[in-house]
Amino acid sequence: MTTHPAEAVLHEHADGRLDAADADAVERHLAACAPCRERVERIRTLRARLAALPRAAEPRRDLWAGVATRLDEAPAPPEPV
Amino acid sequence: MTVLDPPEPAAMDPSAARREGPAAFEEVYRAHYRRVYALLLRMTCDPLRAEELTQDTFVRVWQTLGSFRGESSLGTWIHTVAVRTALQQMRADTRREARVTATDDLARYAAEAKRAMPDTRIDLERAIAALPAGARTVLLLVDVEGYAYEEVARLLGVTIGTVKSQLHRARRLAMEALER
Repeated sequence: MTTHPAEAVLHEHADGRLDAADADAVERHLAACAPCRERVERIRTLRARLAALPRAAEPRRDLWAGVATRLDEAPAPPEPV
Repeated sequence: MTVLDPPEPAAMDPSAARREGPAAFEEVYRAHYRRVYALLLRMTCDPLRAEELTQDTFVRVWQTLGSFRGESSLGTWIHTVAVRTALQQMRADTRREARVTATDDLARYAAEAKRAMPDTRIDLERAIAALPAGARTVLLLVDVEGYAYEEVARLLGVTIGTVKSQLHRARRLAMEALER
């Protein structure tokens, strides 16, 4: 691969979504191209940071009472079909 | 969804909640509300709206328990209900189509994110919040929540190509914001 891969290709490479032949071609390019290596590294770093964010948050107040009131007014759910 | 935490307690049985009524459903709520609220807070960047949507989500979960067939975990299913609930509301409210650009709004959101998730990274939270709503939703679902592209395309009713272009745009904008 003599021309720089498109940005979308670098994202897909960072995501591991390219097939083996395309991934090999990108890897060969990266071995010789520091700017593209840096682009892929930036994408991987961002992905890792996003994946490490906490995925549980405490609301400012207990929300259950509001849910329970509405459930009391709703019909019982049907059995699975 | 490929990533789920924490493991669900065995007691979280939707059939029991269905048999025993709303009081038993509280156990299901208590096991899952924090993950639902975290996702909705990031999707909306608005604590009040995220609280309302969290309640709407669990009412809808209760009403549709009969359609839960156990093909995925209960947590994954509840999460999907939350995403669908939020998307419906956000589509109906064009105000949320705008990114959070006002400095005051961003500061208010950052303060709530820090209170609700003390271990979070505020620079990242601000960069996510400043994204256009569509790109933000895709980034959250793929890179934070671990959904596959195909699942996001199905949830949003768009092509996989659209998911990719939104995701790549979101990442580019977030990297630029983080480097400023």
